[in-house]
Amino acid sequence: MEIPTQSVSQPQAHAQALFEKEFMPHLDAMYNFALRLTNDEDDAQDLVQDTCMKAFRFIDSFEPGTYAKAWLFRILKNNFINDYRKKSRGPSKVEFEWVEQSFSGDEDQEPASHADLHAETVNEMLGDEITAAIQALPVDFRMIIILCDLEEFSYEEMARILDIPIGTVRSRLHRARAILKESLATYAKSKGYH
Amino acid sequence: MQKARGITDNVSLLRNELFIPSLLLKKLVHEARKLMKKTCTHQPDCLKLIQRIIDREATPEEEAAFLANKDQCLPCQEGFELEQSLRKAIKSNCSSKCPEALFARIKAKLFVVLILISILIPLFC
Repeated sequence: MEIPTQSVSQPQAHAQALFEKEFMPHLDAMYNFALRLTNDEDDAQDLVQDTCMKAFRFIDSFEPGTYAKAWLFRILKNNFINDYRKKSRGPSKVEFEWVEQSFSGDEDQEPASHADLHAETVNEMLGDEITAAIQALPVDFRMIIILCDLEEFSYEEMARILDIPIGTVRSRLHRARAILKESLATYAKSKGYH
Repeated sequence: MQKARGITDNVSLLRNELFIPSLLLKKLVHEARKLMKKTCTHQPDCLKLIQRIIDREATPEEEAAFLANKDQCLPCQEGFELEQSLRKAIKSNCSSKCPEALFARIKAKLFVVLILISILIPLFC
């Protein structure tokens, strides 16, 4: 749908152009992030739509030339925490539910043990098994793994998106990966992977 | 900067470019692993460094020092390969595309907002 630029004022036309150029290319990544956070397609669509409308409303506070994707992800994350977190769906696979229960909540604590997991086992696993293990992680850990491993944000960008110190980014990421490996190792053992 | 490679990468290289049979390669890898150090006294620190290397957050000096020692230390080699595999698995299994309908809905909503603004602003200015 083309918006008739002659019918909107100059600042609005500029805002619209900026929105289409800087923000629209990140819709796939935003939707994927929203889907991983909410575990529900409808909630993910609503979350992305709300985020886009908020981004447009506050477009004056975006500095052109800075990283639009990080700015959008920050709005999306805040939107999720304020409006969607309570109703987000739980783990999609029963086998990984223990991850939520076994998490002590102290993210600065060193992981208790090293998971007995090998690269070959991970390579053998099915996509659904990997996805289920990610979805079963507590949301803060799931969030940081997606931001780092999938979206490839730097530690500094993640610190800004999540509003946490860079040291916490490092420790949370380290712990998230340790829990993910423990979870995959337990699952692999139960399913007879080598 | 030398690109970090795991045994798995090197094995693929040998198989694909030098056409060394898989069975022979497996034996070679097995023998090579026997010569490596079986325990790592700095394993927690090495694991943190491995993750920073994979996240592109390590300094070139840190990365070079790790690569120089990786092939002699089995826990570091395996840890590096595991972290690489995990990242690869996440990348290839956790991506979803934005539905076309959502894309169209956002554009339509934006269209309405812009029209409303263009009507309302002159009324209040």
